[in-house]
Amino acid sequence: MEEKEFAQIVKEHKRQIYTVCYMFSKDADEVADLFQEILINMWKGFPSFRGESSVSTWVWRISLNTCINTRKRRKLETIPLNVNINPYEDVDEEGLQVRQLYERINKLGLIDRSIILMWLENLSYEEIGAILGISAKNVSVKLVRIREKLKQMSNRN
Amino acid sequence: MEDNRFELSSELEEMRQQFAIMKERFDRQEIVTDRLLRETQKRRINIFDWLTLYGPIIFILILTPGLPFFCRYYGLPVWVAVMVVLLAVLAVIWQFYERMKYRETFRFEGDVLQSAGCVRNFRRRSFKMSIVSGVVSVLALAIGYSAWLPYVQLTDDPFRWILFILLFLGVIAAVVALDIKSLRILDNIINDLEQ
Repeated sequence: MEEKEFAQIVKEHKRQIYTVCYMFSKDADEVADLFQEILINMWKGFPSFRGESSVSTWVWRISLNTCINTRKRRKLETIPLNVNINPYEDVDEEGLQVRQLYERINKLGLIDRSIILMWLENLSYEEIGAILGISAKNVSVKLVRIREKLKQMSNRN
Repeated sequence: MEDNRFELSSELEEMRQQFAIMKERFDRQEIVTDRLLRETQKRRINIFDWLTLYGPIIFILILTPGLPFFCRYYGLPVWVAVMVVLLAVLAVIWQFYERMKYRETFRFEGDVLQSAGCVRNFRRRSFKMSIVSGVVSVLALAIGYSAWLPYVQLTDDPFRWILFILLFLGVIAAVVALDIKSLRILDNIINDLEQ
């Protein structure tokens, strides 16, 4: 029963997990590695998840913590994997748009990257703050700074 | 609740559109967890092989040229040097034999839980072997040391004593660390497969 429930959560949030993995990786192998790591951490934390926050918030928290910690801790070891969608290599118009988004977000620091991702996903400041352990006010200040950074990067280009 | 819509810049607006495209693309992404799980375990086994097989080989390669030095400057009997190398070669052959015997287990092709059971058996066997080989090595070293004792030329030079003790402790620490690391890898594999 627990396994089915968990599989359902993964199915419903796989896009969210992939988004985070993609934004914190350098290539498709790394995405696969991080995805795997997040699933393992979710499975480990699943028995203690009591529904105090929404499932989505819980998934965000685990995904971001895993990615940030992994990035800080070590250089990821990669494994060969066939992913049917590879945003790093797709060269059609949509692929280029995604690539541009990746490049912009990747120039930001780890925490800024997390904030902008959640903001793009339409999470409220309270939700972003709760996931990152900072106040909503702090989120709003950081977002203004991120906007300025992005503007400066764009002007430089 | 804070207002989530602060003044947007053109970059942010563009990013929102790009994000929508990306979301749509990731929705089409298949989940390849099972394959990922197997691939990750195979990668861990490669690290395990490296530690248990290539580790001792490197040890032999480093040790062998060092032994004539000990024979010449410390009076280590040649037969003791040969015995040390033979023990290390024996360890490599044994590891190779064990891996060949369990090679089906480490392909992770069957049922995941069954694979976990097989790895658990292998781990139990490896642990026993580590203990046995540890005891055998210590006994062999003790015999070698007793045989060496009458020839030892260390007493006149404290630096030689220090070097000797450091080398001896270093080898023991390296072997123990190698054993602990390889058993931990097996623990992680069992853990992940069972989960």
